[in-house]
Amino acid sequence: MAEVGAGRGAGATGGARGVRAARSGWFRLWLWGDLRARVATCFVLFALALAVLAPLVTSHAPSAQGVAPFDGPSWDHWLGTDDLGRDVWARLVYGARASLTAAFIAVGVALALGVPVGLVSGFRGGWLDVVLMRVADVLLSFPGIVIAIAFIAVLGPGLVNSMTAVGIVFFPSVARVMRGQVLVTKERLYVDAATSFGSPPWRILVRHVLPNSVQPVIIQATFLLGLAVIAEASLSFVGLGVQYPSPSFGVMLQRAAQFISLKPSGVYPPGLAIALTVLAFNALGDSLRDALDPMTSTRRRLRRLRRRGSARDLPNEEGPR
Amino acid sequence: MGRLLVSRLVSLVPTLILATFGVFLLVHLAPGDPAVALAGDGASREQVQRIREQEGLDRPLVIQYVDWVSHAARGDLGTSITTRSSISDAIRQTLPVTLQLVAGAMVVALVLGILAGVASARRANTTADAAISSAAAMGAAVPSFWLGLVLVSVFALQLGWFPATGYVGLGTDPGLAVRQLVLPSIALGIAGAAEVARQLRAVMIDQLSSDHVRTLRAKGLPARRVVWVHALKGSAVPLITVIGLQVSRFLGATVVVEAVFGISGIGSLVTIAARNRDYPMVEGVVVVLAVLVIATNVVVDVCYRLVDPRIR
Amino acid sequence: MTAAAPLLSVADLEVHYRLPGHRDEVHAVDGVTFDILPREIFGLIGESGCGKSSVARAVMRLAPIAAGTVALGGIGLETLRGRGLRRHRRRVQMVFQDPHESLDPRLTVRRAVREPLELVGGDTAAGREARVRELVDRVGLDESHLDRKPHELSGGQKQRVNIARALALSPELLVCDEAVSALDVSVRAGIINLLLALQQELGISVLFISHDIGVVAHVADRIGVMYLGKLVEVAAAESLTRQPRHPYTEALLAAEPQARPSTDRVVRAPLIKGDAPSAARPPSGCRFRTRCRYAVEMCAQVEPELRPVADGGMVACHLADTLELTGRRD
Repeated sequence: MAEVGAGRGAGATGGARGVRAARSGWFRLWLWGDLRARVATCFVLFALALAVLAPLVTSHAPSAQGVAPFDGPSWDHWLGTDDLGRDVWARLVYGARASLTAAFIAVGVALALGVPVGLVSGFRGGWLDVVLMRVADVLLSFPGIVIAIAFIAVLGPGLVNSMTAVGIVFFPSVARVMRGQVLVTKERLYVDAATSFGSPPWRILVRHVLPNSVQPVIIQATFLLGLAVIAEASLSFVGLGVQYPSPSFGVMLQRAAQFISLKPSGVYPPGLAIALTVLAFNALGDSLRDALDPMTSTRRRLRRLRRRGSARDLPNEEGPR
Repeated sequence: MGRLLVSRLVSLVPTLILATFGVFLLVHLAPGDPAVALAGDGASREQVQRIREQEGLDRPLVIQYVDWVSHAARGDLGTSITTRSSISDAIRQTLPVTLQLVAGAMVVALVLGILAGVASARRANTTADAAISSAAAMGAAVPSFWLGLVLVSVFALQLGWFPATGYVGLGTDPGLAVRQLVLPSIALGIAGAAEVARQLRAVMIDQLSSDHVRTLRAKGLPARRVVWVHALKGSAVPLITVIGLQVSRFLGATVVVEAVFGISGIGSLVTIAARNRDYPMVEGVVVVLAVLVIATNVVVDVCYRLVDPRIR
Repeated sequence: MTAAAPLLSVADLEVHYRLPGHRDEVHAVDGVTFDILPREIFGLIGESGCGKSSVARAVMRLAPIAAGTVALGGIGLETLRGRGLRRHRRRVQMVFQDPHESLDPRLTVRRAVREPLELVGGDTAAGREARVRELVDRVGLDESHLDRKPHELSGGQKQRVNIARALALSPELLVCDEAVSALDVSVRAGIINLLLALQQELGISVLFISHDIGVVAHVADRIGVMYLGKLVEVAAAESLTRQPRHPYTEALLAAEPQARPSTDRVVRAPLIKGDAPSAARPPSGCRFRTRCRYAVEMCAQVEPELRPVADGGMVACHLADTLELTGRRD
């Protein structure tokens, strides 16, 4: 009586099933299929590994002052020394630890606040939803760093405080994304099915709506990690984040800036570290987003253009090539 | 049009109240007693109490807020805890500096962004396009203040083309001021340029392949005119949106860029105030910035209607 | 009409929708009354938009009941809410039309079928596992399917999972809303036979909804025909198909595809003219009159009521006693 395996079925169902299979094995497909994703993931893992295994990666202590300040790269000091003779590479690696921790704190706070708010707002709808989203819109239109500074003025500077403030600044955008997806998911038939067995709304929310709405939030969180790294660097640079002499990308930049006339190249190691980390997170986010929605509108537009001939040729040629 | 403007302004009042009350609440619910901070270290309990009554800090929060708002509306934002001088004065001195910097950044963002956006749209899907798009991606990823440091390092210190720090203001010495603005404007504006280029490219590609443009071309209009006048005009609305967003972003990034270039703008003001836990100052600056952002939104809306009367 | 008390009693049921942007409400269901007896399969047919799915959703309390009553075993469901409602929900279960969309893509078959059992509680994990296996086996799937996710199953298999899940709580009434319409024709027979076998075995009642009169005639004991939110005829399946009493029923039967070689097919002119009128503004009097070839003046003025007729059925037509309508030929 049972159907013979998943391989049979008319063409239409088979094709649709193929897409669905791809979408659920998307993680595996994406990782092995997309070069950009692989490179970005590798870099992020590498950075994380460096940060976690810091003591094993460098023999120098980040705070050990030496006798030869502003040295260039050498066998002993791979990236040279800073203004107090400390090993730059060591400070960079330990700084990565601080900066990455900072990023995860900020995004963690944003998720902890944004996911429940988005869930409730989207699921319940009504006036609560309208009010919350208006407030979110207002918050999102202001320069985040200024709001963060206001929070830091109240909480006090430091890694945890400043990154919590950044997380608070981020959470409206997380809430928005979560809410958007919840609006779609709550209309699904399996939600009706769960209601029909007598499942209470909170259980439907947690068991069905949340797991099926979380993908865009993960993408958003990836981009926010990049933004958080920049936020940490900015805040530490002006003395409101990680406090000197603890190393972080921002602190290192601040010191390098102070002594820029003595060693102009000092700004490159932390700056490049920041740029590469942010690029990696952004690339990761981009490829995650593409993996979930291959028909992005830009690609469609380009396909259309390709058929008609490139835009450059429009003023001169008639018809397709 | 005038009526629309008024109704738009009126609808922003709740936003303004929300923003200012939010800041007020935040600052006044802070741990620590503002009366103690005002009285200074080593003040006795009676002195603190006297100050509390003097400053009206024992009244209900809402009344304090209303009082503060009524002063603010008249231009009095209170007194700084650290400098003991008028906050409004401090802001009046520093805000123009920041605005000049933001204007400079806007010029950079528009000029570079539009050039890059149009160029890559016209050469869509070629290597040139890929190159420009990658440059834009990098421009977006690089934090403004690091770019500022690199620019200082190369162009100011090594090449000596521009001064490294300081800003005298356009009023004092326009020639020097402009030279001092170049590097900071570029540092601040590049990320904006990248964003403008990215958005403009997408919209322009649509425009250039639209029936409207092809008709114009078929009528024999020169390519340059079609691209720069007509296609650009069609892209005006998303362009205005993106520019409006950049203002808010610039106001944020200026905080750090001013620190890099030693510019005494409103960004430095609020940063130093935060370091010193000078709540009233932070409060005052945030509110002024909030008003600026809201004003920008209004201007953007007005521009929409000017460009495309169909938009309600 | 038997003397047994009905299991499901629907009286004057109304379901309204307000379309976004429109001021008027659409009466998707506009006063429907029917009963379902214990152990009976009641079919509900009609065109798309006639309101049959809305009846199903209202019975399931998945759509708000604007007016009327829905009583299950004597207990009115329309006024229940909260925990009281949840307790009664398990007595009526539904097999949805889209076999894929009605399953949470992240849950395996085992977890999907187990979910209703977890909600009810009162059993051990081992007991639940045993029940899941029993249900899955009963619908014709085997152990290897237990750990699969919906995208690894065919349409027919997914629908079997839906049926297993619907039966988990031992409902008294099973509502099948176009349960086979989305399946390939070759698969439908299997599911239909499964449903019939289960109904016999478990002694439950079934409300079987479809637009395909052929399927419904095969499956149901009694059939209700709906048009534009109202019931126009209710009769035993056999008499409905052999001798319909409402012009709309006759037209539906005539439009049925005939499973015969083309040379043997009887060519008949379509008995319906025109398109269905908008549900938001139904015609005056009898709603079917605009497409009915027998319509007379009275049909435009007075709306016919659903009245009993000789052999136990009900019809809503002014001309019911005089018309001689043709049913199925075979």
